[in-house]
Amino acid sequence: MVSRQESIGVGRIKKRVSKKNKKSWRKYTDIKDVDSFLDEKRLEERLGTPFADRQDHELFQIDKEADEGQKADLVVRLKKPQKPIKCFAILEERSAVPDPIKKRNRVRTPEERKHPLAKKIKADRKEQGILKKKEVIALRNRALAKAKKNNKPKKGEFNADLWEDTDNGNTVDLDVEWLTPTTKYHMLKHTGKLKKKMPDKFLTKPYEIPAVESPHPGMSYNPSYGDHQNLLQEVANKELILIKEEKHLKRVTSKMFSRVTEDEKESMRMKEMSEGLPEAGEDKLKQNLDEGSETDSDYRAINPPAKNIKKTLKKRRNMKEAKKEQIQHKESRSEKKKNSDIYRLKLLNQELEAKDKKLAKLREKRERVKAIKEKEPKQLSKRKFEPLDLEFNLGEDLKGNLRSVKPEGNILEDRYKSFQRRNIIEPTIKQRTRRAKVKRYERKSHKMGWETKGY
Amino acid sequence: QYESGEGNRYVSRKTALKMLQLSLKDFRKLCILKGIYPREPRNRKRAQKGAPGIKTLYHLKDIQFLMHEPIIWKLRDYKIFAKKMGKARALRDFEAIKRYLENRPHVTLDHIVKERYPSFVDAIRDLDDCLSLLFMFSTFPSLQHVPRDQSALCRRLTIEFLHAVIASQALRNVFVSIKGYYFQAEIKGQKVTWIVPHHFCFAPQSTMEVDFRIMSTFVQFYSVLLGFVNFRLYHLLNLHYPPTFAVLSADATEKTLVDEEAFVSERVAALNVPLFCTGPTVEEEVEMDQFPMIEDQTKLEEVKQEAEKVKKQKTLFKGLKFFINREVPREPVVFTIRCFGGEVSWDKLLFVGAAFDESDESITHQIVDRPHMGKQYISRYYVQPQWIFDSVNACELLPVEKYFLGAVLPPHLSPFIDKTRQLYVTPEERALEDPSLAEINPEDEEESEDEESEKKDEEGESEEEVLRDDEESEKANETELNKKDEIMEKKKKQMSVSMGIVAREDPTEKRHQERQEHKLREKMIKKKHRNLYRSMMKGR
Repeated sequence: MVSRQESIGVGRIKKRVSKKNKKSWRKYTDIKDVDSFLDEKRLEERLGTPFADRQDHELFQIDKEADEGQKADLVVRLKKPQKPIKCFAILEERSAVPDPIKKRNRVRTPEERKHPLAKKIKADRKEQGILKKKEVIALRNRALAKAKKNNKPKKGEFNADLWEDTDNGNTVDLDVEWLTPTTKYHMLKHTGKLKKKMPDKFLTKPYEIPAVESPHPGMSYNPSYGDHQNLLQEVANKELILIKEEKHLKRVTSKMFSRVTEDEKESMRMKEMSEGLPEAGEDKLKQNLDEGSETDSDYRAINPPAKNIKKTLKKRRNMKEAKKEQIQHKESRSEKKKNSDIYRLKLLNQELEAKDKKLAKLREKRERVKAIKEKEPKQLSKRKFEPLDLEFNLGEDLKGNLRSVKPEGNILEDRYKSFQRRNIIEPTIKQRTRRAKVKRYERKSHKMGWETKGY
Repeated sequence: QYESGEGNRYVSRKTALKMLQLSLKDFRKLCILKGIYPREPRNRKRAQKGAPGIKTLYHLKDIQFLMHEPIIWKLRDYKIFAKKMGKARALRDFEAIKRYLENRPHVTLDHIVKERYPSFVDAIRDLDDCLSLLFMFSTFPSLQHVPRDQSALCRRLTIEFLHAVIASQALRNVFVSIKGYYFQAEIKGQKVTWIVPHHFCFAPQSTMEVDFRIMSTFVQFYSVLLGFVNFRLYHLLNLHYPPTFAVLSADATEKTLVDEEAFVSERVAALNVPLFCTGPTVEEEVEMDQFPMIEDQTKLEEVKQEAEKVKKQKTLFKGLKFFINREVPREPVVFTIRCFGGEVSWDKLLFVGAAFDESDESITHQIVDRPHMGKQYISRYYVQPQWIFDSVNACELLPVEKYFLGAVLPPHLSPFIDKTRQLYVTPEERALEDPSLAEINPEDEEESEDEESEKKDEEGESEEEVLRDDEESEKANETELNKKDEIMEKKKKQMSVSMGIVAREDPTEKRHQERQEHKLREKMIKKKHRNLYRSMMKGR
């Protein structure tokens, strides 16, 4: 229907129309609502019984499946109830006389302290499922953390082929060679395929010898006679070297000193310690005289005190001139020598050649030493590398069958020493960590006087 | 001073620790994981910037490279975690302990493995060390600095690797020594050698000789490496990783499996079950290339024969059925037999996975290590375990008579050719390889021909140098073999290359001669120059 100008909303000015004739009446009446109502009715008729007349079970279904996610979100983690606090235990009532005021110290619990309206609003919100923003964020973070934990790679799991891109031929094909390096770099970087290349220095090993060295044939559990003898010979040689060294050391140290018996040693010591001491029962004067003359004659200045004698100017001048003359003399001699050196050319040539030869020999020797040193373990730290002894079985231990083999050598130690030999780790020893001695004492204010120990 | 050259190329360990802000333990762990080694300089005084004594030095560039490693943060996180745990434990705060343990920091080493071994072959080259260590650690209980799960992980990985070797038939040599079992396999053209310890009672390891923390770090890194290597090997062999086997449905429904994983893992550990294939088994048939241009015919022949031997070796135990008695060490023998196509079983009570019983009639060989055996079946051979190892090394089934029960075994020789020891060939070895060497008949041409070719094969590598020198003459002889040439050849075989004597020139003799020459030349000076010469010589 056309509305009057008074009851019009903002911004809409409806022109007043007359509905005098049938034509204008039909044009300007608004029958939308009637039309929509009737449309609905006809639709309902087409679909069957009208919706208002239908039963509940035809229109709706009750969802009986458990909705896990949602439920978990809304479950509130309850705090564990706190145990009664020990330090407040003394404040409780301990006497049998009851307090006349029953609830003397009663305070409202936090629950009771809340305003009922606020509680009601919160309960309503919870019912409707409206969450605060911080709760929403918290839920989201919790979900993320859970997903991350599930996706974390487990320790013993190997899922991917590490060498897929290098070894399966997924390299740059020949067609791309005409591109400039900057283009290639840009492309690879932005497609995520740019791989950093390790400098060759980090990929070279610090050792030449193989990781697991082939064993001596005499180390077999059932070796041939010759091989076994070889091995024993090697071991024996090593032992001989050690014995020889020990003998040599003994010879140059202990054997240099003469052996004395205990009594002799005691008497010698007494004599040495009592040197210069006065002995009982002797003429003291005579002693003193003797001692005095002896001491006089014995006294010799080994390191007399320094005397500050100044040199006179004359002496200084003379010394300077003498020095100058010496230098001049030397120079003139060398000049003269230079003149005659021309005739010594051949000799000089010979000398130079000799020097060259010597240097060449030295160089060769150094190279040989270097080659040997490369095979040996390098000196990486203060401690020297100590190799393990060769493992061997003596003749009587060789039983010839696998059941009674006598195992020698520890593979773990062998590997450890092998790492040291190949300059991978430096030889170290176990450091003894000394624990600090903690001093215990009791405060003077707390001492009761009956302690037996210090504290 | 010490600003350029060797002076600024090296840093001491203390300086490195300060630069990286790590403790010594963490630094050593990091160096081991990343493969950074201490160095020895050419001139220690310059490298240490004049400081006396011997310090541990590292390249400055290595330390700078380490500074950008993300693992450092993980190490620091672990330090913080340890501190928190210590405090919680002291305060008896078990909730906190549980919470911290759930969010424990983990170190992932995948990118480091990829960095250190850019290609698969690089990783295989380093497998020697890796395998020996892991085999050793799989026998340990949990020790002070060794985490509990490391030993189980090592065992699992090593068994997976053994299965891969079985499936690819890569084993070539076995050697039983007093230290342990040496195995040599060929993977992707690289020879991998490793040691497996004897399975006797556990000997307690002393921490005074070996630093367990360091070895544990190595094992951590190597276990990751072996895991990835296994993965790739399995995929190259078209096997499913982690290894499973097709479980027969009847077996599964019979008993209610308490723990299926344990069931599978135990049977896998038995090494007796063929693994589940995802695709057709890959047979690597490498064709030998023909090089007609190269004159080295002998070397080509050698290589060809080697390849044929290897091919023959792959089906060494095919069709044979073995039964292992109780006193024989099970794992190495089972592994060796299975690698060459044999079927094997053992006593049911000994270990899981016994396929057939002792009373099975189709068993061809029974491996026994006792002096006497109670009940003996006629249809099978009773051999000592050395027969298997020696057959594998010789690439053929050796006669069983020498290895019977109670027989004195022939010596177990090492198949590893060591260049420093090759010159010495024991008479037993020579006799083994050439049993008819003692009775060479010069009249019988064919026999000697075979012998010579055999000799060339087996001693080919050890007498390589000898052959190289006599190559030309031998080649000529090969074409026409007459009696005369035969004898000549035999003589040439006995020829050997020895060190030549250095021609020393006597310096005194030389000087004497020179002086004489000089005098002669003096006499030849012209008369008019003689005075001048005399005056010159006088001035000298």
